[in-house]
Amino acid sequence: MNRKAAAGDQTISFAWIFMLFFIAIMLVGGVVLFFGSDIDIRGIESAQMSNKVKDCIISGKIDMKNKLELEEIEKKCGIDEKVLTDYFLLSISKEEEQLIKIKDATSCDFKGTEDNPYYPRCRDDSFIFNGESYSIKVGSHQFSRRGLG
Amino acid sequence: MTKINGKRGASDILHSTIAFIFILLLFTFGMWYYIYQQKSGASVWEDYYAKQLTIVMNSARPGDIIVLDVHKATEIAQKASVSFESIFLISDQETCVRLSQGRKTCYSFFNRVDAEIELRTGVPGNVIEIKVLEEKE
Repeated sequence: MNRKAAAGDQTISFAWIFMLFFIAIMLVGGVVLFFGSDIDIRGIESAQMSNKVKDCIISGKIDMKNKLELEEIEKKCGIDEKVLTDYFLLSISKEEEQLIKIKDATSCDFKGTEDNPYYPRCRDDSFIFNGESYSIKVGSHQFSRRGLG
Repeated sequence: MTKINGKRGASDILHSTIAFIFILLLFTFGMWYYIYQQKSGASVWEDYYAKQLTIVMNSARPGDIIVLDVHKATEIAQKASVSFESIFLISDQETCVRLSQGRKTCYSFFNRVDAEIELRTGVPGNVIEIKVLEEKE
């Protein structure tokens, strides 16, 4: 085959592959439009976690005089350590003093990236208990996992 | 008209045609598989039920008995020949839902509790009864 014909042939191949990609994107787009995007419960589970920690503090299950350990949160508050460290951000403060920090919960304050679906969904709670002010910040970045099984 | 330079040119055309056919088959199979997976909405419903169970498990206390309507899930599972016993699984801090053969969707819950699930059919729809238990050490 001469060179010009070969170049023309390659151009057609490129257009053909591009067309396949275009069809695939349209098809996936159609499915997403039909079924809608995934249900997002990260905000709900952040609120649930925040309430659980708050209940734990108010019921006096954990000693809030010292720095908190993960093990203490797991055993006394009934929050699984692995799930907490894998999928959540957590910060508990008493009178501006941070008692525990799991990952950097300050990323919850980046308001500019709220539209980003991969940005954690957070919950801030403040309350006064026994004359001392407490602040709980929880964020979830968990997504459902679909796999073989 | 394209001039083919002997056997080498013919061989080039044959190779590119085979490559095109291979890509086309790969594409067709990929799209067919994707549409087949989506047609029953199995992945969407798996995601929905896994997350609903997670919300329930996060706020459950040992001793609670929770009843959830899962009629839609059982309909999809029946069409996909998935046995009812294997649709819902709660273990190791995870809720998993299987509505298609060989695939499941899982989501983790942080509340340290265990659960026993019993599927009850025809009450009048199909429901699952979740008995929340103390976590086994």
